[in-house]
Amino acid sequence: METVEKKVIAVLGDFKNADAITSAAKSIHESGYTKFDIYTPYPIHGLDKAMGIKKTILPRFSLAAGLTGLASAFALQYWTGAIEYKLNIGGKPLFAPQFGLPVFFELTVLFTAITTIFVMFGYLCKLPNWHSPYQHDDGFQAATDDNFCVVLEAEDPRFTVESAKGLLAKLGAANVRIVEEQD
Amino acid sequence: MNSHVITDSSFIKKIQQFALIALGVGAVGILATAFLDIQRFFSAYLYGFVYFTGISVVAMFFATLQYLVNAGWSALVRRIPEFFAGFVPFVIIGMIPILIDVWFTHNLYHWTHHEVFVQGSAEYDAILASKHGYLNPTFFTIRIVLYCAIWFFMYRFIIGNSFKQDESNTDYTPTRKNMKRAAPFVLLFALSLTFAGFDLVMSLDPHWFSTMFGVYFFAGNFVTTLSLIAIFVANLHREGNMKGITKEHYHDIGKFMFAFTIFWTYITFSQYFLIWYGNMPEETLYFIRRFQNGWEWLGYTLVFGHFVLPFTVLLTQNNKRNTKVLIAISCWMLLMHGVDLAFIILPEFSKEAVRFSWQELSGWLFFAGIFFTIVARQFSKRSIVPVNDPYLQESYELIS
Repeated sequence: METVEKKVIAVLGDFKNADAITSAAKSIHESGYTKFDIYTPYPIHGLDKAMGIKKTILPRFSLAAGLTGLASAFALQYWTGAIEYKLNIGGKPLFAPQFGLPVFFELTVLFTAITTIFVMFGYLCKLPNWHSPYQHDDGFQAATDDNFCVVLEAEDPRFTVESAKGLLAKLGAANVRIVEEQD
Repeated sequence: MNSHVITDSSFIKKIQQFALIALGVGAVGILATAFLDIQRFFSAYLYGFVYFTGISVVAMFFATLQYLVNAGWSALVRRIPEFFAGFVPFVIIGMIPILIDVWFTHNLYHWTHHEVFVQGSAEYDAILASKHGYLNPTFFTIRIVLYCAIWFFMYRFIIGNSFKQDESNTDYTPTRKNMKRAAPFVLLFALSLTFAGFDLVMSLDPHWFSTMFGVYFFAGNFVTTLSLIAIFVANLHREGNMKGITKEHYHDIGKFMFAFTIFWTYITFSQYFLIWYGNMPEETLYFIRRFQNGWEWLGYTLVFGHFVLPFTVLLTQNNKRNTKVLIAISCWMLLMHGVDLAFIILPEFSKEAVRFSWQELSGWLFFAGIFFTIVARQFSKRSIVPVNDPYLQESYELIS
């Protein structure tokens, strides 16, 4: 039987605490890596800045959805009330912004909320995704408990196993290791 | 005395100069008004008085709120609202002319005329007669004294303890006391401000009533206070007198302003909406008066100036973190609060046409002069940094 060499998908390294991993993140970002991620037991203030993560584009989706919601609320009430099915209710006008406003508000919020949730989880966070390629790695699992883990991904253009290992070792990471593709 | 008292600030000097000029011009203007038209004097007086009373008592509430919720972000900026609260003792003096009018001259409030309660007299008003138990000079005076007592006591206690904490970095009793007493004070404050809004402003039209009026009054004042805080913080920081302030603090103040702009809109609209839908004559009268003879333009201005514009500007993160934009929108909100109060107060005195001229402006300037003189004096006396506040370090390290 022939053993097929498995493809390396990432190099991982562990750090002891939040300060160490924040400065490591800064160095990795400055060395030019773009495809890398960091897993920590709790959110760390300033880590996103150290990693050089760009501002999210999520608010643009929210704004667009909100304006759509506002427009559809207006269209809905105006068309049903003043064009298609005219009903005189208590002598009120067929359409007036006064009574329209709660619906303007509701539909704006509804569209914004639903779009934000779905775009964030479904598009930007790539869910539903039931597994992580690193999930069998002990250090990666410990990131939900007490470990601060750096993952340099093989997708990065400047990635080679040696250079990645060297970089992490230089930054003082413990237990530098590779993760291979799972079957 | 310690080194954090601002000694050299061109901004405070400018404020002082403005206050002096405003006080001079305002005093001359309001005195002239008093000789020309005594009712107009009282309406202008009430206009300016309510504007700055609102700011100072709500600033005091803002400081109390920080103790109530153990806020860490605000320790560095808390002194600014505490200095604004320095106007609170003056509120008591400012109430005296209003009480004099209620008892003797009867220019402000229609219900102060005794005849409206006397059955058989030509002025008899059955609706007002049914409210006689609440709307009478004696009870009004008792209530006003009560509000002043609550505010003054709160000022002495909360703000006093905050200043006392500066003296010791080992004994945190003053801060502890404030945290312990903040909750009952906020409760008392909510009741006193609500009823002060009812008594001072809503009873100008004694037939009309709205249970939402108190919170409407509060919401407008809160936005204004935050705007004034933003202006002071940004200007003092720019000239290097507030070290440690970062974009994160601006961001938090901006978020607060944004939230309470929406809150003001929500309350204002809810009040209007229910009255519009209910369409009951005793309620709609208030808005009918404000929707004709030119007053409606103040209303339209508020919709765009007090909501659409600040909402749009404060929506983005970059604008909230930009000093120049924040100062600009804050100044605009101060102006809009003036329009808001004019919309609430002044139509009761001039039903036929919009009337806002040097008389009303001098009422505002007069109180602006007193307010900013007091605030500038506070700056020269007290440390701008609450040096021993236990949350100070957290405020320095703030990331919002």
